[in-house]
Amino acid sequence: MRVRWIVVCAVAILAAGCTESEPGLSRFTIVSSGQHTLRAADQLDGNLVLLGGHMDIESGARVDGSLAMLSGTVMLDGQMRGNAALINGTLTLGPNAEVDGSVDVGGGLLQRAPGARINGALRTGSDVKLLGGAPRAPSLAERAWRGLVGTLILALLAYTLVRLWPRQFARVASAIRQEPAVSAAVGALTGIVVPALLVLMALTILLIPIAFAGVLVLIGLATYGWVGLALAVGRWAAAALERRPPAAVAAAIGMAVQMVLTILVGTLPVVGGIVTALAVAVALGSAILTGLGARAYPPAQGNPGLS
Amino acid sequence: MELWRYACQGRWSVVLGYGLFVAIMAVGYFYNLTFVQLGLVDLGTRVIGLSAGAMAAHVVLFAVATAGVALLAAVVMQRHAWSSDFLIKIRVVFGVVLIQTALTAAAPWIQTEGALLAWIVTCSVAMGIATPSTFALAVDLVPVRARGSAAALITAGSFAPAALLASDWRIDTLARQLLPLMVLGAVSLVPVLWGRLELLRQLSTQHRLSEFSRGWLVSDGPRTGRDRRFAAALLLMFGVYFIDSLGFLRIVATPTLVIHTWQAQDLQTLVLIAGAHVLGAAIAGVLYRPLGLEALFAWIFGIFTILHLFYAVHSLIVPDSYIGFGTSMLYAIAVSMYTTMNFAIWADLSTPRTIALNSALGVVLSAWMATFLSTALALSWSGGELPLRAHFDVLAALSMMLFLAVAGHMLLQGWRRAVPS
Repeated sequence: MRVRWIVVCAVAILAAGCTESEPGLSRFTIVSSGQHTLRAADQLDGNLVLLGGHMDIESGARVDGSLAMLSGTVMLDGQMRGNAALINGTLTLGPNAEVDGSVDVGGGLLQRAPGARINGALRTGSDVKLLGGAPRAPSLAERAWRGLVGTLILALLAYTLVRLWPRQFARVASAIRQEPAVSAAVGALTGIVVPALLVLMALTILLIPIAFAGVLVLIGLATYGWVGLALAVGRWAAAALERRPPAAVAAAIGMAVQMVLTILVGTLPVVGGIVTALAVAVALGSAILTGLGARAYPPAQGNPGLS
Repeated sequence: MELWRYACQGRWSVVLGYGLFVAIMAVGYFYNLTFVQLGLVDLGTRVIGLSAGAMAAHVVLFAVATAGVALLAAVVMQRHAWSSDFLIKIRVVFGVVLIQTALTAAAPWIQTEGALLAWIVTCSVAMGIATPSTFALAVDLVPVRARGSAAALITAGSFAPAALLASDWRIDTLARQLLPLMVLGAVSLVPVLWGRLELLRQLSTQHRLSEFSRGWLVSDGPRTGRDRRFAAALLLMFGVYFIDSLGFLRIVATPTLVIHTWQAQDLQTLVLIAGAHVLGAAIAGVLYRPLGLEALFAWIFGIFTILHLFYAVHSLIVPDSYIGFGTSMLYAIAVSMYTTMNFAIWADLSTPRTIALNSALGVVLSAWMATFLSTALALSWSGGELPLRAHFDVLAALSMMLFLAVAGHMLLQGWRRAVPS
């Protein structure tokens, strides 16, 4: 959906002011507000982009191009020679409407009278193809290679970080072991609310740099917690095998184990996504609760209550 | 987790009591937030044809009458020590379920304003009596350590089905959906009331055990400290209910904000919203004790600030376009979080002697008064054609003010602890 938004917005911006274009170039008519009517026997050459407002295309009128709707309302009772892409807003096809191409409904509302004709395909939701086609799915060998390289890099990262700050990561691992539910809850809350805040900041344009920095901080926190989780997993695995490796080695082994598990579980539909999200939430939450391992969690003095 | 421990110990009366409390509260709350809150407005405005102003007056009447009856019932319960009498409380709940079942069956037949008034008064009396009785059952049925999880289950058990089933908010549809549930609830209470005497005896004496009796927010300190803590909880809960209700009623009256969210026709969106409710309840249930109430309130006010800013930006930039379901999921998380707190906090600020009055004060003064007053204000604003953006601007400012107040207080407390005088 986001890709389509960007593409359509880019097209709309590039097309601005091109209504009187040279022959051979695409023509665009952009409607951003107000009420407009294409009367019977009228013809609109080129594509129509609706950013807002209302467009009434009466029976007998014709659009020699495609329609892209980002917002607003279109009442089409005439003919559309191209395709219609509905991203948001309301597209109403009247009883005399005819769309020669396909109609893609990614969002918004499509209302269709009984007599309305769509000569191409009507695609909704996940059936809608992104512009330029869907990216090619990697083969099993490619996925295995990427997974192996990623696991090795993260295992090396875990080894290095735990070697540098063993006590801090021990506290993170201890928080995960003692309070996994609390870590998951704090992580989930942060992982949901903070991105929403960052999107809001980005909408102001002025705060985009801070929003970008916020994204990096969030990724950093999650990675820190992910290493702490690897240490907890590594120690658990070592204890199961009755071994006591150094903390950095345990973290590297743990990272390998948890990456393999994450990749395997991730292949399961729905459940895979939920389990992976839960693991990331635990990691993020433990990093926050311990202040990147600066203090132990749970605290010695008990719960804060309501003062 | 706590419940599992009791099951392993073979303390089945605790497990059964916990389940009974969760079931009663979940059904009761589901009924309240669908049939009473949404159905009443539909009945008045669509079926009878009352104006927005007249409907607002009826809602205020309902709020005031219910609040008055609840407080009166709570005072009587405290004076006669019924607050800690399990049998009296469960019998009152049974009677109220019977009355509400009759009211549910009667609602679709109401056609006049007089009949609506009679329905409102009867419903007020029943709900007013039910409130202190049901909330006070917590000291008999739910151990203190398990109250967070019980509250989370109640919230998830009421909001998730409400999101999935109640996308059509017409009174006749709601009555059709709820009547079988109410009949089932009434029938299910019969074996509890007239069943095995040994189980009843166990349930009615549990409040004497230390693990049930004293809420974790009741301290041994001076009474002024306890009163201040209760007043703070009351004020914060009022704020959060007020913001939610004032915003939500305007949202549901705006088609671009609900058609692809709460009133979406595709099941996937409704399942995601229901899932968000479950997630929000689980988060609050887990964090209720470890994080502390102030921190949870700060999170909730923070989420409402972000949400209302989103709505304000949407109404400023693309007012004609349909908002995506992401906002409704965030909304569901915030609502489930504070509702979970509401189901646990009053019992945890009480003892068996004070729970009826504390619950009534808490629920009436914070939850209901805020909900119904903001409902009346929302209807009045919408009748006065206050622009959508201005509405959300007010709410965003209010949420942010409360967020800053709570966060500032937390910082001050932390600073005082770090720098002893």
